[in-house]
Amino acid sequence: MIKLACAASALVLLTAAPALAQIAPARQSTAFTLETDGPRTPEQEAVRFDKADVSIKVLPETKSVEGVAVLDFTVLAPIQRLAVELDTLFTISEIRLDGEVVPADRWSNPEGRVTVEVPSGLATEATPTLTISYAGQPRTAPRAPWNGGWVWSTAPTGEAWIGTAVQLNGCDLVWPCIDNSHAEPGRLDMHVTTPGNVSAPGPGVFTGMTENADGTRTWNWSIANPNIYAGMINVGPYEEVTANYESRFGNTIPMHYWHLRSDDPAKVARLFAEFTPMLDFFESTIGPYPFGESKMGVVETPYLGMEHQTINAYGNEYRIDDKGYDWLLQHEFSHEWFANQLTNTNADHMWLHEGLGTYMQPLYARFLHGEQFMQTELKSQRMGLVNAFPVVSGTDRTVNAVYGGAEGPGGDIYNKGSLIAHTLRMTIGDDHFYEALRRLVYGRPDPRPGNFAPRTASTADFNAIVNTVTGQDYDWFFDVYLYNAALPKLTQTRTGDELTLAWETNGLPFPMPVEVEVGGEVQTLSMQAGRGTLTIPDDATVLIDPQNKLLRQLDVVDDLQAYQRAQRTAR
Amino acid sequence: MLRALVSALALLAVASPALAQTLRQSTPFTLQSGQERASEQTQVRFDQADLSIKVIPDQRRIEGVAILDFTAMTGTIDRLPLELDTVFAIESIALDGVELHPDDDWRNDEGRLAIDLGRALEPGQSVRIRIAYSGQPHVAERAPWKGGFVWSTTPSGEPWIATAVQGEGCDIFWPCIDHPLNEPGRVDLHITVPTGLVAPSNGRFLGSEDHGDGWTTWNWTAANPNTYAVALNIGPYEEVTETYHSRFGNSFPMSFWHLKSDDPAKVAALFAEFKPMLDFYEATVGPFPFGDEKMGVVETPHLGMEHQTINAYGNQYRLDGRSYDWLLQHELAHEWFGNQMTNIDADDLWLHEGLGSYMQPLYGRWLHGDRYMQTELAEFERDLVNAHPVVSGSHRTDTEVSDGPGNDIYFKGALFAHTLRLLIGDEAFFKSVTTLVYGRSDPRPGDFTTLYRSTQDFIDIVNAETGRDYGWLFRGYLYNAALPDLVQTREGNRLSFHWVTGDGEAFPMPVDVEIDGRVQTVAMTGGRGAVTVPDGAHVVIDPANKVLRRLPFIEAYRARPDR
Repeated sequence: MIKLACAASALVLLTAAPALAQIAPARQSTAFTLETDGPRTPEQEAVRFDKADVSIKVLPETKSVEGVAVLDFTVLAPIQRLAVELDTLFTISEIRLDGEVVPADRWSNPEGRVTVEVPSGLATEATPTLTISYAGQPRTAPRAPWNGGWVWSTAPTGEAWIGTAVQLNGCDLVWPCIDNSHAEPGRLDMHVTTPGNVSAPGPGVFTGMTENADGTRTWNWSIANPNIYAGMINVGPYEEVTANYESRFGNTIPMHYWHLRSDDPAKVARLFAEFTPMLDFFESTIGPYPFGESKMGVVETPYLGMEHQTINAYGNEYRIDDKGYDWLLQHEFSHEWFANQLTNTNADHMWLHEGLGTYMQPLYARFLHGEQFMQTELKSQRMGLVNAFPVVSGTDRTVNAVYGGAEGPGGDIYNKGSLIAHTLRMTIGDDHFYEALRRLVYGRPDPRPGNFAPRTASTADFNAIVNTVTGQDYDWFFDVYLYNAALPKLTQTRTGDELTLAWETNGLPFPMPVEVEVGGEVQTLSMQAGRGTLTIPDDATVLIDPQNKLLRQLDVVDDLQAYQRAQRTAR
Repeated sequence: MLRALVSALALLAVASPALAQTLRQSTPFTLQSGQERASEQTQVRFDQADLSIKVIPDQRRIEGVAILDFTAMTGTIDRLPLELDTVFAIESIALDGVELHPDDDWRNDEGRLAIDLGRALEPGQSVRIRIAYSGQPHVAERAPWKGGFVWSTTPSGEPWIATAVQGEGCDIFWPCIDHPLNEPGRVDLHITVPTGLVAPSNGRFLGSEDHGDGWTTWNWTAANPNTYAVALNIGPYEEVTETYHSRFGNSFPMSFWHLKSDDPAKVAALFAEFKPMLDFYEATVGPFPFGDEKMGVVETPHLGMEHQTINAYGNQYRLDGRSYDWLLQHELAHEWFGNQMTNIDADDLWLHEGLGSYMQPLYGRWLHGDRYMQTELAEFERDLVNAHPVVSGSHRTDTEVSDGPGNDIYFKGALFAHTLRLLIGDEAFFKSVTTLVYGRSDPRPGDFTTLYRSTQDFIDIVNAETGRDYGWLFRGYLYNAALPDLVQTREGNRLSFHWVTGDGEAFPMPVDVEIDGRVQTVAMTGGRGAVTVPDGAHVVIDPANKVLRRLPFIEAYRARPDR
C-alpha cells in the first residue's frame, strides 16, 4: 500500500474520492471482519487451501454483488469443522460441502467467521470442497486504500468505475477466504460478471470473456498463489495498451495497462513508457519479475493505489513530481517482489514489504538520474521518522495494529524501513546486500524464471540470511534498528585534540563502524564495543559520516520536528 | 540580497507594515541603481562620508547632514554630480565651508544633484561638500526586493525601523554616487534616535551620546562599505556578543542585536550559529574581511540584506530542515561575495549571488555530509528558468538583472560553481575563489582591501590557476540562456554523446558514464564522445551529478499542468 502520512496524496485522494455511498448499509462489518491477518483457528491451520473458484456478479446500480465461491482444501490433520471468513454484510443463501447442501443448523456466521460443522469428521488427506453462495451490499470503503472496501465510482464518460482495496481489512470483504497471510490459495480462478459497457481486468492470466444472454459479460481470470488481498475487482470503461517485455532472463512478459477510455492518450503513453525501465530496474537490481508467466499488469482505479498482484492499482492521475518517475506506479510495482513474491509471515514484518519496497524509490532515482536524486529522496524520508515504536515488535500483530501510530510503527515501516535498508547496504556492501535481498525474496541466490515460487519470510529470516551471506553476526544491527524504537545516537566528546565517538543504544551492543572526514581525509573507526577515538589536528574540519551512510539520531531532524510541532500548535 | 521567489516572501508581505504615502515620489532615476555614471563621477575618489542622520519615527521623516570628501584622480573636473532622492528638501550645500546658491550653483533635477565646483579641481586636489537635507524618505513597497525605508512597530509597540536599498541605491537616504564602483573609503555615521531605542550600524561602534532632550546619537565608523551596505537599523534592541578567535590569529566581536521581546532560546540558538558559519567561511574562502570592525547582525522587519558588518536578519528564527538558518548564512556569504569583492557592474551580480548561494550546499555538506549538499543542489536545479543568460556581457542595472536572468543568478550561478569545482578540482576551485575575493590566494588579515571584479576577471583567474582556457565553460553556462544539453544516440552497442549549447560553440565538457556499476570518464573532446555498452547493461550518465545540464524530467516538472 502507500503511506498515508504523505500529506499530498492523502489530500488529493480525499478530494478525488468518489461520493461515498449515500445509503449507509443497515448493517456494519464487524470489528472481526475489519481486521486482517488475525490468528487462524486450529481447523484453518489444519488445511491447505488448494484453490478458490470465485464467480462474482457486480451490480453497480444497487452497489451490490452476487457471488458463488468454490473452495478446495486438503486436510492436513483430522478436523471436525471447516472455517472461512466472510463479511456478515453478505447474506449466505446456501453452503454445500462436496456438493451436498449443508443444513442451516450446521453452519453459522455470527461475527464474520463462517463455521461449517462436519460431524463425521475430515480425515488427513481428505479434499473437501466448500461451495458458498452469497449476496448483498458489501462494505463501502470510507477512504480507500487506507480504510478499505469497495469503491463505487463513475468514470468521466458515465460508466461504472469500481474497485476493491482491502489490504487493511482483508479478502473477506469480497469473497469467503481464510483472511490470514499464511492462507494464500494455491490458485484463484475469477469470473467477474459486469454490465456490457465495461470490462473487468483481473489478476493473473486472462482466460476469456463470455457474452451473457442478459447483455452482461463475464471476465475470466486465473492466478497462482495470489496474495490474500490481491486485486479482485476492477470494473470500468477501460482501454488496454500492451507490449511485450523481453527480460534479461530470457523470458517474454506481457505488459498491460488498462486505463479509462477518457484519458489523455499522451499521458497514457507517457506512463506506459515507464513500465519497461521499471522492469529493467527491478530485474537487474532484485531479480526476475515473479509473475512473468501471467503478466505485468496495471489498472487505473478510483483510489490512489494498491499492490494487487499482476494487476496493480494505479490512481495517481499521471501527476508529475520532481522525482522523475511516477512514484505510485513504482511503489506498487515494487510490491510484486516485496509483498506478492515475498510475503511477510505476519503483519509484524510488514516493513519487509513497505520498507524494502520504499527503498526501491531512492535506488530507482539513482538508477535513472544519479546519486543526487537518491540522496534527495533519502533525506525527505529521514525528515518524517517518528521512532515511537519499534518497526518490528517481535510478536504477531494485525495489519491495523502495525499501521496505527498510537500502538505501532505506522509510517516508520516505510521510511525507517527504507533508511535501515540503505544503512544495511552501506554496511555490508552492494554484493552482500543484493544477494541477501535475492535470497529473501526468492529463497535462493540464483533465481531464474521457473525456479522459484512465492514464499513467506520474517525479519528473523532476513537477519539469518544476512548473517549467512556475510559470514558475520549482524544480530546487533537488527536488534538496534528494527526491534528498538529509538535511533542509535552517536555522541562526540572532545578532549584536547582527541575526539571520542560512542554509540548510545539503550545498552544494546552496536559495533557499527563510522567514517570520519578529518581535513578532507576519510578514515573509518571500527567502533568495536561501540566506541572509537581519533586525533584531530588543530583547526582541522571534522565531518562525521560524510556520505550519510548511517541512520542515526540527528539533532537537526529532532529540532525541525519539534519546531514544526510548535508551529502547528501555534496555528 | 536574497532571491525573490522564496515562499517566506509571501509571509513577509503579509507581515509588512501599512505603508505611508509620501507627498513626493522618488523619480525613476532615483529608484534605479548602478546606472551609467557621469564622466566626473568616474574621475573622483570618494574618500569619506560623514553622515549625521536624525530619524523621527512619529513623522517618518529624517534630517540629515552629509559631509562628503572627494579627490580628483584621473582628470580635472569643475562640477561634481551626486545622487540624492528629490523627496528631500535640500536646506544648504557648502563647498569647503562656503555656502552655495541654489539654482546658480546646484540643482537636483530628477535626483542627480549637479554641483558646480566653481573652480577646476585638478588631479590630487580634494573638495569637501556639506549637504543638509530633510524629508520623508521613500518607503519600501516590499523590502528588500522593492526597497527603501521600512517603518514598523515591534510586538511591544516601539518603533522598529530599517533601510534596505540594494535595488534603489544609497541615494534613497544619503547623498552619494549611486554606483558600485564609488564606494566611499570610509563612512562615519551619527544616527540620532529617540532615547531608549538602539541604532546598530556598520563598522565599529564609537559610542552613543544621550543629549538629555529625548534624543540619543549612536556613532559608527566603517571602512570601504559597499554603497548599498550603509544601513539604518533602529529598534528596542538587546545585544548578544562574543569574541571570535579566527584561525588567522586575529579576533573580532560577533554581535547580534535582536528585539527585546524575542524568545531567549531562539536568540541563543541563532547566535550559536555565528561561530560555525565563520569557521566555514574562513576555512573555505578566507579571512572574515572586516575583522578590524565586527561581524554584526541585526534583526529587521524585512527578510534580510547583506549590509556590511551589520547584516539584516528577518527570518524569524524559522527552521526548515537545512540544519542552519539559510537567511543568516546567505547574507553572511555576502561579506565575502558582495562586500569584500564587489561586482564592477550589476551584469556580474552572479558573483555575489551565485557564488554566495553556492556557499549553502557547501555548508550543508560541511555540517552534515554529502546528502545535505545534494539535496540543496537538487532544489536549486528545480528552480532554474534558463530564459536569459546569467551574464549579458554588457552594462546592466540591478533592475535589468532582476527582470532578466532574475533568480538564475542565484541558482544557476551556484550550480555553475559546483560544476566548475568538480571539473577543475577543489584545490584550483577554492584558490580561484579566494583569489577572486581578495586579489591574492593567501590572504591574511591586514594584507587585503575591498576590491571590484567582473566575470571576465574570474575567467582569467581560473585560467591562470589551472593553466588552461575555460572560456568555453563560462560561455556555455553563463553567457547562454539554455542549459547545455548532452544528446545521446544509441546504435547497437555504441552509445554516442554530443553537447549542444545555446550558441553552438565548442563545449568539451567531460562526462562520467556508469555502465553496470563501473564508471568511466568520456573526455568529450570537440564536444563529442562515445562508449560501448554491452547488451542489457544499464547506463547512468553522470552518476554523481557533477555536470549541470538540461534534464528533461526537470523541465517536465516545471511545466507540469497542476503547478
